[in-house]
Amino acid sequence: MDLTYTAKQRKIKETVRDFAEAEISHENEDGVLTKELMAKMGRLSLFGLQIPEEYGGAALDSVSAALCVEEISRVSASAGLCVSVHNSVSALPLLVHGTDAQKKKYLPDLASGRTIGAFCLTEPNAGSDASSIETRAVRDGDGCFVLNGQKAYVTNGGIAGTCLIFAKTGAGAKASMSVLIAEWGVKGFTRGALEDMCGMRGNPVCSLFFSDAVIPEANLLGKEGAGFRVAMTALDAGRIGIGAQGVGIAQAALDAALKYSGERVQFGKPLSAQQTIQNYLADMATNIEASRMLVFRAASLKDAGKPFTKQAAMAKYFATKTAMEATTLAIQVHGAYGYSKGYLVERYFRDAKVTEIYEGANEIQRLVIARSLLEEQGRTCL
Amino acid sequence: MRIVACVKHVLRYMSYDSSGRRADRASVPGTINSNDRVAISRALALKSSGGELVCLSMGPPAAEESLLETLAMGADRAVLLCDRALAEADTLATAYPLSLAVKKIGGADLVICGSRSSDSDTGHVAPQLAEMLDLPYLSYVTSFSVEERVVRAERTVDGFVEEIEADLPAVLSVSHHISERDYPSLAGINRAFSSGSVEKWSAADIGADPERVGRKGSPTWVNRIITPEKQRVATIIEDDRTQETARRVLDFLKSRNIMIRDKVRARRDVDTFEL
Repeated sequence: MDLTYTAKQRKIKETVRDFAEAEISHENEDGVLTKELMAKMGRLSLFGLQIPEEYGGAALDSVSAALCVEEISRVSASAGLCVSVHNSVSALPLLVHGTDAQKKKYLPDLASGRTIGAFCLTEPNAGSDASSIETRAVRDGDGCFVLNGQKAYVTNGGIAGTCLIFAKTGAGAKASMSVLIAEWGVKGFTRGALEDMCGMRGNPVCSLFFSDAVIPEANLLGKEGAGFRVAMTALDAGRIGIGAQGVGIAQAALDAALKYSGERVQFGKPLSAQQTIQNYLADMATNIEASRMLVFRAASLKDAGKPFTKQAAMAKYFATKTAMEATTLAIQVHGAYGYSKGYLVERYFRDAKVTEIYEGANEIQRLVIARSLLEEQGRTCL
Repeated sequence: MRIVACVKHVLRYMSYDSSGRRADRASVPGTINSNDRVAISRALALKSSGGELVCLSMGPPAAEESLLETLAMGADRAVLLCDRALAEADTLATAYPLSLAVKKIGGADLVICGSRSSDSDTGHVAPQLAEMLDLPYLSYVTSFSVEERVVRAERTVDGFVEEIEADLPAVLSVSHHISERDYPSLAGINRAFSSGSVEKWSAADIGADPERVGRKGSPTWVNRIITPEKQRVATIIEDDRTQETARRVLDFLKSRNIMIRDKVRARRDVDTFEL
């Protein structure tokens, strides 16, 4: 067993760290994604992390891809979110379930970042209970689906050009979930105003509306009725990305707390020389390292072609919980300064919260973990 | 047109081992010297109109990583001079094997070096290399172009700009003022680190005179290294009661990363009032 990075993974981590620190502005209060930044990210191949080279991607292993999300998120969680969602739950499902024609049509633009992807499952009345979605796609008898409904809190929604829409197809008792690829620009496809969120304010999150939008049958991703499975397998991979994002946010909080505690003097010595603060720093660092190992464990299993659902859920659950705890402690170390907008830990704290909610709330992750445990019961798992 | 870019593998930050004289290569990760990154970027820009780029380094086995990164950035070949016999070399004993390697590569139309390294900071290697190759040398170049086998360059020294030119082949050194940093793409890194290969040459491979390499060939050596204690230096900004004073204080705080945001959002929902 080798728990160290390969030379390639180290170089990827170093390159993305240097890029993020130099190119993503700290001036930008909320880490807002700009066109210029997106173009630079595209040139680095951040939008084609695991897309094969034949489609213009970087063809990275899952551990390397997680490292990229971690390092971008360490500087801007909003940019990290864009990268993770674009790659793991938009491009990857197309790669896994897409027909040759769909892959040829969509993957090159996604890989270069000319088009940004979005994963549209959540609705006003369907969050954790994903199977209760109300968006409907009905065949028009002319080779197309007519799509009606609303998708809520869509990450990348304001900039996405290729959206995976989960919709009910079929009638009555036979209704089941399917996935349609909706391209921005199609008649009847509109965007709502950007959401005024607590954190991740740099990501253009909004609702998407479909009113008699006509989507060709050729845009059906996977088999009709297989949508729930597509969603669940996509989210398994997505959870590795969100786990990596949690690690990045938590690391940023620890870095800030380390720096500040070395500078701030109280009771005649720096905070970092005081045991209470040292305990905080140690707790943060230990949980971050444990989170990182969980993320890499899940990613390694995925790369090895082994089941990783349980480990991905554990990674997402633990790493995002750690992000919330670490950013809370980082503010505590900073005191009132940390609670003001003059310091970035305040943003880290707001950004961290939603990681416990999206791509499967942490309550759902525990449900997934427990379900796996009960299924495995009595079986020897080595 | 063949371009040779010289690349030094340096530590990301400086740390010394227990001897106090040698860089702590075991625990600190290495990377491409920042001025050499500029050399590579400029060489790649030049190569885009045709030609071959060979990146050349002398260093420990770990330097292979930096050369693989040059392949990731778009270099055609990477050569590492790696031999115990070459170790502990000063700048003269570095320039000598590099000059032999340039000859073994088949010569170069243009040799581009970073003007100095971030660790030893001597700026000696490029001029010594030019001397050993018996080529014209253009130092501290801030911008340049090549046309009809003539290199025209601008160099900024002591506040004035000098325009100079030389016939190819030539050696030039560049500094980080010359361009923004280029990053290797992740696709490039994946390719280079999976299937790229660095040619490794020994002192014998380049036909080096054993008396002129390594510690033996070095007329200078590091006796000891002292890390000076950091002194706090005060900056005094005279208050002329204008916004300019506040702006200068703010710029100073931002330049030191002490204060990151210059616009602290004012609360709009609550106003001050007096009872």
